[in-house]
Amino acid sequence: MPKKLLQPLPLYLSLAVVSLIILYPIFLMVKISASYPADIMKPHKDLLWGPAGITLEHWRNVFTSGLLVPSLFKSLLVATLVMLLAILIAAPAAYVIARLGSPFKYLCIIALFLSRTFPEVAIALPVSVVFLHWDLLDTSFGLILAHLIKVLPYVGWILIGTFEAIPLSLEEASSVDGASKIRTLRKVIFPLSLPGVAVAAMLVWLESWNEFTYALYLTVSDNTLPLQTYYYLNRGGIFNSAAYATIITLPVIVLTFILQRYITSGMLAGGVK
Amino acid sequence: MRFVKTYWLEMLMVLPLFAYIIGFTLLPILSNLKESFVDQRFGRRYDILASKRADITYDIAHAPDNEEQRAYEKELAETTRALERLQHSPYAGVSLSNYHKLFTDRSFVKAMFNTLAITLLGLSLQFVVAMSIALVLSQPFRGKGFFRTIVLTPLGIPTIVSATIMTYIFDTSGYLNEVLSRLGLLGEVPIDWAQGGWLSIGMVVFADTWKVLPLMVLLFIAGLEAIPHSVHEASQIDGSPPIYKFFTVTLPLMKPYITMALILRAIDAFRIFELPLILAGTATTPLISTFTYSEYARQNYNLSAASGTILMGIILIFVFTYLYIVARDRETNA
Repeated sequence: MPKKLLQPLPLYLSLAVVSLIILYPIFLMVKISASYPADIMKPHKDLLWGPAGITLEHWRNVFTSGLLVPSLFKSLLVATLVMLLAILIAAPAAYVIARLGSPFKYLCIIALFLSRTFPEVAIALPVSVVFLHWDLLDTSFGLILAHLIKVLPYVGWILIGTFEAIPLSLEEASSVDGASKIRTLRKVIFPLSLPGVAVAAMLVWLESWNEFTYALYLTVSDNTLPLQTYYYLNRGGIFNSAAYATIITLPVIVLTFILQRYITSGMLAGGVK
Repeated sequence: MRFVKTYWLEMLMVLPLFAYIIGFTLLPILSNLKESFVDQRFGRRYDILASKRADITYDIAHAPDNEEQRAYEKELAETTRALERLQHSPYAGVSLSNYHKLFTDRSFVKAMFNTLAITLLGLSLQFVVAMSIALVLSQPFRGKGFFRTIVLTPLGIPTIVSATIMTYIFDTSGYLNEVLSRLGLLGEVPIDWAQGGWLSIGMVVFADTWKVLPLMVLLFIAGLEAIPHSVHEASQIDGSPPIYKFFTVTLPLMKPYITMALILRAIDAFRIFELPLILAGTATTPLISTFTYSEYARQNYNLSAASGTILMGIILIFVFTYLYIVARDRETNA
């Protein structure tokens, strides 16, 4: 039946069109970041590469402008600390929730889900007003606090699934053998949950690395990489924005490549964006 | 007390997460709700006077001599009096003026319309395209793995990056207009995709679909794989045509996956922010989310709070619909 259903020619033709629509925009980003202005600014554009060829001029500009390093550093610092703090706060709670009885567990999961659905623009306004009084605008610490708002429910949701998958019988065996609660956690639960926690950590890192809305509300001048891209977009800096967009994408591609085989549909449900 | 003694460790482990969510999500949402009922004129003047008072207090503490300090104290007393007068002014207190202002503001009404249109159009398009791709990928054919990898490519692309790329495509002198003119579909004047109306809605829908398609495809593939093999075999023996089989067998069995995917997508589509902000701007194509931001940027905090609250209300309606459906399905399954 499948052979009859999928006629080779229309099938491959439509596959080619879909592939082109998906891949061409990414190609465009790389192309613009490495093309001569003469090729990009002319009225009739080349759909492939312009005749002038490849140049690294814009990349050199981006690296020597002095704006890349501070924003790159801020983005890296915030994403890494958000990742560590989120796991530290969410993992213990997720373990306890995973071991709760049915009505409480369900309630906790709904509470986490609900707090993830609130629009960021509604949370960011009061947060930014408070942060102004606390002198947290423009600081990495303030942005870390804001990113935690976004990632904690998500990472909690994923980790509950991870801990649910660890059989209760293992814990019981450990306590029968005379291990204390804390010892069981350290020696049994922690090692078994490590792969799931690692995946969650990478997803959190990506969320923070890509985050834009809170950064926009809470930043005056110390931009993160997404904000720096936005800044160039607003000023019409097409080459700079292309180069910055490529820089943001690089670690993302590496991490999603690693993550691809570990991502389950449950995580996707939590992370549908 | 026994409860605390037995479960102190568990309570300690749960506490930080829920304290954080209460402090940094629930409280801001409630404060947003409260501010949305404060008149914009009152809110603005109150903020100015309050920050003036804070400045003067700072100055008093750092005044070089007594004379200057006395001058500051006089100013402080005046500001405090002005604050008190403001609190007794006719527009102080709970008021619906922000909501009234929003629903009579043409820009906000347009924002509501745009938000609904983008959600409905986007969801329909994403559903049809993602379902088609998932169905194709559930059949064996040569080069399937290769095509799957291509479809999943935008999965990790950050929204800010996809917005950046889409500006190159939808620019007035951008690549889409170039393709259209080469195909002879473009008149003398290039199309301004950010001019507002249906063109801009279509642009945002396309950009959003490009970005979320991989996720939808993955969710639908998971749904297709969850259908037991015996069901396929049974319908194959029946000899029913594939289209008939899709509507009578596949679609009903995938219903839980489809509802989940669509409701979750709807929640995100309602609050879509970066793409419309960057691609279309708030002047021609406001959405509720970008309208909320632009009022914030103009320091109309109370108006922004009201607009954000409306957005939250719409999303909550959807969330509770979803939870209701999930609970109902649980009951029927149990």
